[in-house]
Amino acid sequence: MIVRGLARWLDRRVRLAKFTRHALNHIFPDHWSFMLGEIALYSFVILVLTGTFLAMFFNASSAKEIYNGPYLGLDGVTMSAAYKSVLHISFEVPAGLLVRQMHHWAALIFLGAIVAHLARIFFTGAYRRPREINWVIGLTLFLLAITNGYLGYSIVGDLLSGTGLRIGYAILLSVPVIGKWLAYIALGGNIPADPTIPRLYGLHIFVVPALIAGLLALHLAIIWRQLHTNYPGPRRTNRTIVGSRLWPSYTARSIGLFLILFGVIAGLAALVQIDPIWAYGPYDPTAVLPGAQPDWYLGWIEGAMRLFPGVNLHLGPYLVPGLFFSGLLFPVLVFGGLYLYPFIEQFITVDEQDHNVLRMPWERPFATALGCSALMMMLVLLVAAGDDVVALALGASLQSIRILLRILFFAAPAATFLVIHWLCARRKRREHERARADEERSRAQVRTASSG
Amino acid sequence: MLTQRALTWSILALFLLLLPTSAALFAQTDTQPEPDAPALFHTHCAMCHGEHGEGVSALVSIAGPSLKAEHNPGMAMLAIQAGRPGMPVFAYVLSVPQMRALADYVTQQLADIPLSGGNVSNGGVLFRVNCAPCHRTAVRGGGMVFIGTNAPDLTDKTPAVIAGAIRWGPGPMPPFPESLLDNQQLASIVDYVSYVQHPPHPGGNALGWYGPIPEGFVAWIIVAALIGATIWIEKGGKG
Ligand code: HEC
Ligand code: HEC
Repeated sequence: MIVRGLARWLDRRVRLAKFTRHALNHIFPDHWSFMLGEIALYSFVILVLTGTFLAMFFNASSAKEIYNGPYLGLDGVTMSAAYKSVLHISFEVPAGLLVRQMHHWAALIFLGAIVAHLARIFFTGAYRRPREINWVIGLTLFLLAITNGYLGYSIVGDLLSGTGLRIGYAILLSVPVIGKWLAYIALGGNIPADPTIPRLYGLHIFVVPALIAGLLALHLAIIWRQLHTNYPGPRRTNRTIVGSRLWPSYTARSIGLFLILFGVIAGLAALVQIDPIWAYGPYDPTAVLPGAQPDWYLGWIEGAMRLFPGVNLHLGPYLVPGLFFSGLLFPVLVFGGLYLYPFIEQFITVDEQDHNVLRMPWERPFATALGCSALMMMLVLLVAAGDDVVALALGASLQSIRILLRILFFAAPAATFLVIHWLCARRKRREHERARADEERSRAQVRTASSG
Repeated sequence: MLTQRALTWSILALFLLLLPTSAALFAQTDTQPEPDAPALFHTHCAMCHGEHGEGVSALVSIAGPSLKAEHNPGMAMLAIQAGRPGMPVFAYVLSVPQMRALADYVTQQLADIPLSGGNVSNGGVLFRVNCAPCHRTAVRGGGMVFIGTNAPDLTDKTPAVIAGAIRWGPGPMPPFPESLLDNQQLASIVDYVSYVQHPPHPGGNALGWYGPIPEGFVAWIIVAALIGATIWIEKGGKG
């Protein structure tokens, strides 16, 4: 009664009924792979919720304070106010540690879901016209998510994240000509400078999330406008879409997914520790934590820095350190390639058409093999980011593991490319043969029917 | 039949005959002069612990820690009697007085690194600057990767072993003489390491203290499980 009255009241004023009816009938394809992006979306929601809670207790300041709290291992130690407040969240705020761990786990899962979603889009050719625009927005979201993850664990001010900040600082400094200036703008000078934490915090809780939220809205609006793609199948053409309505069918599924995700992240945060900052201690410029790893989504850059030989380039009066190539140029090339991929493919295949039906991965062996080999390269780099741990686990020397990984960096993607290409081409041939056989059979049937 | 009974009797007789002799033996031990602890140490312990208990590097096949900070006779007695990982059991080789004498010798004569007045959190600060480059967070080692000798994690090291190692520097580890770390700082580090061996440790499973690597691993397992959940949802929640 009340709901209906309210709805009518609203409808008279903003004319909602037509739009809502239309919206509730919006069709979503019935395939699990369309829900990967949704995992990312809901992880972001959880990040915002938990982040809001944390922001109530976090003190974004580099001011030096003395800790007197329940963690005796740091009692009386001078540390940044930020680090102190995170200790407070972890040991004293009710449910603080749980929420903090949820926030961090949700970030790792957010990025994982983005990568899975990206891979789905790539391997099914969903980036093709008219969706290149959403491919570009999606990649930007990915970049922003990586950035915000890095900012998030950097503002805590523990020794591990301080080590990461120092690496980030070194990468910025390595940029020829404008490096010093860039580092000054981004981090406020040689870390830990006083402005570092407040500056990163402003980016972490306002600028980057606002950009993510805005682009996310755009991303979804464009999907809404362009409608979803479909997997090939009966009644699925460039102009039709098969699936379920938003209400009630898809809504139920989507809410179910959100609840599962929330439960999983809460359960994980309750059972598995993440980033025990008290064990690392506060950041101290004289202390070193060797072989420190970043969170996984930056592992590939760390891996590239470890594998890249330590050469420096002298350009006239300028020195370009090796770090510049592995820490900055390489990621720029990777993302540049990703951004341009749909356009390059369009150009090479002279493809001017709209594609609303997806292509199966085996239908284009080259693209699939290329994507798989790129993923393999990332995997090798991820392993390289933990090469010291690998060496420790295998009882081998760091040097030999590094040489092995350098070889694998080239060999593994190449091998992956060949194997995947072969598999896809074989599948493609079989599918074609089957299609031809089917066609022949039906033609034969038509012939016997007409002659009989 | 007869021969067997004879055998039994003769064994019994022999036993009776020996009884006084062995009693005399025991009596004699009681009145024996104090065991010569330095000599015993020299023959039984020095090859692993060094002539003066200063330790022998692990680069040598037989190695033991420095005993220069072993102030606890009970602990020393236990180590001698029951052995340690890498140290043999001496309960069958030495008599109890001999072992006791050795324990006293180690704790009173050899041990000369004082271990008192430490402060846990000061130790933490010093540890992060001096030791973390190799031992990381103390509960996991491996900052320095060689073939064979990595900086170990320090979870199971006793205070004596830790203090001994700081002054002595086993293997590739540098020694930290008093000019670098005074006795109080040393005691602080020892206290800190002992503290983080069993720290308050909220938040669930620590994933072996290996940090972001296993964390990323777990995250991906969860992402895979969530993808499984989407498949399940699209199947209509069946099967
Ligand atoms: C085969 C080599 C070896 C011999 C011989 C040996 N030790 Fe040890 N000892 C070790 C090792 C190795 C450890 C350390 C184990 C550890 O790290 O907990 C140890 C530990 C100890 C400790 C304990 C230190 C602590 O606080 O954990 C004492 C005390 C000790 N030895 C005394 C002796 C004495 C006394 C003798 C001679 C009777 C002796 N050891 C003979 C190898 C040896
Ligand atoms: C240069 C790297 C390095 C530094 C710095 C270092 N260690 Fe070590 N540490 C090692 C290595 C390597 C070993 C293993 C030595 C061996 O097995 O012989 C070791 C062994 C130890 C042991 C075990 C000794 C034993 O006999 O079991 C302790 C305890 C220890 N270190 C404590 C410390 C403390 C405390 C500090 C800081 C004051 C420190 N270390 C600094 C590399 C280092």
